[in-house]
Amino acid sequence: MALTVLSCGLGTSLQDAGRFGLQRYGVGTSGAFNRLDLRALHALLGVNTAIEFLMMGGVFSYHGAPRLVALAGDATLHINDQLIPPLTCALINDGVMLRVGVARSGNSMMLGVAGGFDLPLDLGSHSFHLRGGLGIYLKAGDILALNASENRELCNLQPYKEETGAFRVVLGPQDDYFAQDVIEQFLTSPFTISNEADRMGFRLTGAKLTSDKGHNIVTDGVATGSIQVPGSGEPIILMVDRQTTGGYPKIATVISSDLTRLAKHRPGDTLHFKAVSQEEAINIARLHERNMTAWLSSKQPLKRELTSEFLLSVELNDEVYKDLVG
Amino acid sequence: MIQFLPVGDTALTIEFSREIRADINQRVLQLDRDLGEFQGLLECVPTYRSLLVHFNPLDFDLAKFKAHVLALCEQPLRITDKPRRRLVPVFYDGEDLEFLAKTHNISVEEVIAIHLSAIYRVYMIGFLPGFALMGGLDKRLHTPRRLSPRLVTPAGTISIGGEQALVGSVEAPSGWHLLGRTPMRNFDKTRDPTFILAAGDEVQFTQIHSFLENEVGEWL
Repeated sequence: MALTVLSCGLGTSLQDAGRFGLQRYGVGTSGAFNRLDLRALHALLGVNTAIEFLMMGGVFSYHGAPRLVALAGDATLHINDQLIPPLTCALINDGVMLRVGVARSGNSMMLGVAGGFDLPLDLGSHSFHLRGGLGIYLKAGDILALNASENRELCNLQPYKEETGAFRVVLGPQDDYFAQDVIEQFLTSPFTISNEADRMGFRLTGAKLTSDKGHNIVTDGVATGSIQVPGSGEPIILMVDRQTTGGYPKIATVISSDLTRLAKHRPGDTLHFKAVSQEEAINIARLHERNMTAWLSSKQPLKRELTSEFLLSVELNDEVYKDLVG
Repeated sequence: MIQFLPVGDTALTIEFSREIRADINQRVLQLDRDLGEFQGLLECVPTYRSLLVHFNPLDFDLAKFKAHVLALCEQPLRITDKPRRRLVPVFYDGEDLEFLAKTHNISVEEVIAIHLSAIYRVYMIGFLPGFALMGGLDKRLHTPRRLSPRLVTPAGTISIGGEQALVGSVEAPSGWHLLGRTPMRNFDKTRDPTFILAAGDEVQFTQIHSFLENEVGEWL
């Protein structure tokens, strides 16, 4: 029972929720770039680890007993010639070919395979972390062993309705490095995601945020979403492959509830920031989690296996359908 | 007096100071040890002069936690056991030895002798897995960091930057000055223990005159 990688993009790896408890030793968490996609696959398939693709998809062949798969993210999944909509379970049989297309929007997508991967963990996690040489990176020719799976419950989820508007931040921990008018500028002017955007961080262009106290601090800890401002004055939002500590002042931190929608933005996209207090941000996190839980539990069993009739019954205004009739 | 600095909705920086000083770092490490279990507390990252606390916002009472921290910080600094001292072997073949000698108007041999003569304190492990950031560098070797960082420095790099000294682990970009390499690997995912050095440890360097890749595992 295994999935063989026939081809895939350079940024293809296994990711789970991340590697925790070792930040004190300099080991960053890594984990799924878009946590929402991973949680959706967990709800649909019961898996904790999935294949993450960055922009480019991949082609796989499957050998083993029938099992479920699903794709999260905005890309096509073909099983042989059959197109499977996102967030929809499909049954695969011995000898099939799976093809994941390129990201039509966002930066990443994830392929979940019921049963999960029978592959060793590095320090408690499958998540690939380049600098630490940890986790699992995929390339053509790799054979990914799978655990047995008895799960036959075919379900689907409607896409999650993300919030829109300004990205909420909590000012600090070094907002005092910036004069009031610079903070105002940060909270009122547009920023554009530059081409330097990857799993480690998004460098932004726009207003230059200059600190009166210089751009070096005695190193302290950072979190995912921390916005550090190096001497260039161009802020960098730290993403999941961030380091554990940093020596630049951090003007603010993007709240956790807004990180998945941030992860879907691409170079050239424009962002605005809006300040909330830490207490407000914690309340937002709780509300966001209630919404997420409600969404994940809204999965519907499919009446039948994926057939052409089912696929054609998908709502007309649904992107999936548009893609189908193409 | 400590300060609570917000880091989004998932973390809190407990700042003791903004400078590098052994007694401040001891306070950070004491709080790190004393915090113990607290509902929703996920993990702590001690740094030179602050403790970053990662928490689960769905299950964490921030006000109660701050009160808990304030109570713990009232306690005097305890005299702890003598720190562990680790001997770290160095093969001095660094690209910047000549530069450092010229900058400080001494010989390469003196650069090496000064680097070897100090006892260093590990203030924190951070940036990348197993990077030991240390204080205790002799003033005669304090050197501003390079203007343009190198994109790659080898695994096990021994370097200095500003008033700090480093025992590196994995390949990494760096703006620090390279003195040499150590066959000791402070981070090895296949080994138990995975990490050798921890914040609070003392480090003494010892010079070796050859560097064989197969010696890498022998220094524990």
